[in-house]
Amino acid sequence: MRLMNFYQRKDNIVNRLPYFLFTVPCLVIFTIFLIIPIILGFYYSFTNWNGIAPTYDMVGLNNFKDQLSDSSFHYSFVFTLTYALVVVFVIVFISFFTAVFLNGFRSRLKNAYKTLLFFPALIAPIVVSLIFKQIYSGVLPWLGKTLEWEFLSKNLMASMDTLKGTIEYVHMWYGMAIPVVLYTAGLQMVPDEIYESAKIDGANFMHRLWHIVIPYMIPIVNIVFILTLKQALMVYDIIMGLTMGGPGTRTQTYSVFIYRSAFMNFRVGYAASLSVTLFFIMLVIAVMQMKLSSKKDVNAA
Amino acid sequence: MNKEGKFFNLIAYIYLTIAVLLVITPLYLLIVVSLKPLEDSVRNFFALPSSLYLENFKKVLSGDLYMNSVKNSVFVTVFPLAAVIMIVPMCAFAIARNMHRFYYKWLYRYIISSIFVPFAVIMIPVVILCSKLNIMNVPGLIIIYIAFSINQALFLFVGHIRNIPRDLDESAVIDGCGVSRLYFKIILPLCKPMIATVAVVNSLWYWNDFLLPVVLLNKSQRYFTLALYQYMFNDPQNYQFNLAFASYFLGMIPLVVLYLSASKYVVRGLTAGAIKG
Repeated sequence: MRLMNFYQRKDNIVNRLPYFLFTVPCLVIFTIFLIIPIILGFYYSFTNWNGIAPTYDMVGLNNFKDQLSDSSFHYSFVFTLTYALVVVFVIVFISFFTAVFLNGFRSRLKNAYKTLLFFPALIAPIVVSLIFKQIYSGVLPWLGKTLEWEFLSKNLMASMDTLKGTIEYVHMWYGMAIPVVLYTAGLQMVPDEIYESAKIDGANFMHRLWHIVIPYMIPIVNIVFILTLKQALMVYDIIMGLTMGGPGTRTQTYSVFIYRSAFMNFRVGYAASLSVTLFFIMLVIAVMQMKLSSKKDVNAA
Repeated sequence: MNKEGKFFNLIAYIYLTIAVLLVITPLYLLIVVSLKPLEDSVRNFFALPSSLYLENFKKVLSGDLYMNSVKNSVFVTVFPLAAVIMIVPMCAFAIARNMHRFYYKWLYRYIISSIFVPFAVIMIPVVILCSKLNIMNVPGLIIIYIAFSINQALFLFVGHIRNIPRDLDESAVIDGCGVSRLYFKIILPLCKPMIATVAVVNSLWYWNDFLLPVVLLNKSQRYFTLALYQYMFNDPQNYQFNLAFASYFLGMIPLVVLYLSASKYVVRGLTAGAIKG
């Protein structure tokens, strides 16, 4: 009775107005500065605007057709994709093992190690890349000369053979911290009883890892996979810090390509069409993420 | 500990020590290089400073543009944070308590569905919009940060407020409490843990961000945030890396202090942010 009374009262207009007013600031700011830009982005992708001229023409789908034949688009697309595959693969696996070791580590050093391993997540990626740029160009060659080690005595970023690897290493260095924490949190959800009884039944460490820990960790692996995949496909800061996409366009990732097309080559219409393509790639990943996480719910049920 | 346990611990010890060394070596370099004169660093990067040398920090801190960029960074961190905490829990409360109504259900879907859109996708139209509205400056960046923080924060707050029992609302209303009193006196105080989480994840983003400042604040050096300043004064022609490292070191201090004093919230905030992706 009291409950009905409560909801009836809430239904009258005087009580509902404050609820509506509460949503207004968010709705307005969100619509003007996020939804309108998305719509504008789609609109500009059908134009040939250069960003400066007062006029431009509608060119239909020409920008998208140009993408198909644009070799710098192909190059940056493939570069970003191969870059992302390496980075994601390494981060998903190495941070998993780091978390497994960290979780089972019996030592006074455990908490100190945990704290230190998280530090890269606190530093701005742009600063991380500037520090590593100095390490690659100054510290490592110095070390190579001091130790008389041929491989290190040159700048690793100056050779095309090692350049991509140096960038990927920087990405892994700072991209590992959060996955390790996510995995560590996940490992604590593995029920101790199952783990201990398997131990008593004589399952060795690798068996326990494979048959007990990993099945429990699949949802976390999915999260880490999607998270690092998105980060790696969008990589911008560390490219700008290390190479600015150079030499030439050899390390130009997709985000850097959009940036350069719009603000350095003044092809705003074309750059907008690149963004629209990226929008659909991200949409596919989002759908994939939803599929993966709903599967997780089925498993849990 | 049995034999297998000992063996595991030995492997873990070796593996983790290597991992920690890989992580802290660049940070160690950052600290010792910023505490040494340039000549000493060139002679031996890794050596500890022979005496207490603070000239690098003094030089960095005496730069007028540096202090200005620190001020801008504080502004673009504090104001969006305050605004997000002011408007988002409010909206989340309205949505969480009216999910069965058409408007609120669709408002929620409308805002949440944008979560997967990364900034690079709308970078160009945002720059065009801001230049048309004449806000390619620090206040403009603040508004953009607010707009871009709403979806994730709303997601977290709606989830949190839905778990606050409705009995509380009911008894407050029976006691004659209006909706806004109910929100400010009862719901908002109960949101404190989530406010801390959202504050941490967003302040790390605002303070460390590079892409938005570089596209929106490049009109004048007076607008630079710290990250942008550090990038722009990385001129290879006349690059004094001891000064650069000192400035990176100083820029890290606020977040390191935050981490060491509230590590629980930092870790929780970053993982909550990550799961949203």
